[in-house]
Amino acid sequence: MNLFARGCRSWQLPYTAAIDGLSPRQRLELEAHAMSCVECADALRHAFKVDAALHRAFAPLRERRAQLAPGRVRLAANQLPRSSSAWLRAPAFFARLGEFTVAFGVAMFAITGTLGELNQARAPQSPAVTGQPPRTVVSNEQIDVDYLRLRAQDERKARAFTSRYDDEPVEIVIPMSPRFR
Amino acid sequence: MKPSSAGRASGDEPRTDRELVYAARAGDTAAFDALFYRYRDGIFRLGLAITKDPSAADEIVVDAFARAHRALARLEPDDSLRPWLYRVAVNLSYNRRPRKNIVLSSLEDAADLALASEESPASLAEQAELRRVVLAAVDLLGPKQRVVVVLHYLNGLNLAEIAEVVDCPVGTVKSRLHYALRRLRTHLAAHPELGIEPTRPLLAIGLRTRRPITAPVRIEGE
Repeated sequence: MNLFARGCRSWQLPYTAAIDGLSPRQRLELEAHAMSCVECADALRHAFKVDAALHRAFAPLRERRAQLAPGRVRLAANQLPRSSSAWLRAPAFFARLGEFTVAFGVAMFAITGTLGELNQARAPQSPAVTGQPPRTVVSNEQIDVDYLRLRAQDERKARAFTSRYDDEPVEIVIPMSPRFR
Repeated sequence: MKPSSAGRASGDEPRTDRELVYAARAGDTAAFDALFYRYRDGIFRLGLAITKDPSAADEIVVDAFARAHRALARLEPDDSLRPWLYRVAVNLSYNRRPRKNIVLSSLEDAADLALASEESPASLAEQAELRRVVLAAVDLLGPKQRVVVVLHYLNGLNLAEIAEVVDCPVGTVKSRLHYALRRLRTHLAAHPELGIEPTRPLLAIGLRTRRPITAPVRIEGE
């Protein structure tokens, strides 16, 4: 006994008959077959009941009509005729120009503001901002206290820090009174 | 412009969709209006059945014809523009989510029905309830099955036209309708007032043994 067999091979035909999907010959064959097959007779009867219920349910909807004019379609398709006069188009042109100018100004303000912040972050901070004392160029070891002049630097080192017009080491000579000589 | 006169040529013969499309392409707005009046209601009903929202259905009509207007240059309908328009309308309808708790039939329609009918209010209410039950069962179907049911029972399209709209073979449409009717039978069996019984299990029909039926079973509609 095969309980899970599909059963009658014509199992799909009754519902197809309900939707006018059969040829006249197939309908006659199905009618004859349904006289001997309980399953197909039952399916056929209920298929037509479901079909009738669906026809009844959709009947009021078939009477519904749209209250629309073709002008709305043209409006949606942007097919309204444009005015030919330049004077009539001028307000719209200037309105669009104003919108564009405002948008451009806002964009430039945002861009320059952002770039300014970046440059400020990259630039060295002044001592007034950092709060540290300014570093002296000449250290204390370089100053000859006896003569109040700068000590002669190593020539190679000094040459490295001097420009082409300042070849000799810098020497600051302060005239002293004859009493100390 | 009257819709009845727009789609007619000088010989009082209704112009085909192909002729109207070519005329509209040449700039004849009356031809496009004739196409609009010809298919406006069908697309509206299709959108209404899927979205359940009259305003959304209006938008679907406008969008579908706006697309048709933009596509006029490349439209080449063999005979009818209906499959192309309905395909666009189906896609547009499914892009809009159906709103919940919206009744398909408005109060005005119910009032008009009551005034036009000779039946008692109780009978009308019963019929409205049965319609509501059936439409609720249709809503439980999957989208593919629902759209073929709507196209067949609401828009009256035959299997070949439905196949063209949903872009699949006729056999697939038959199969979808078959499974839709079977599922509807299962759903509607819960309402005994419709007189529909559920599919019998194997054991209930005698293990599918063939037994002779005394009364002949006639197929309706012949």
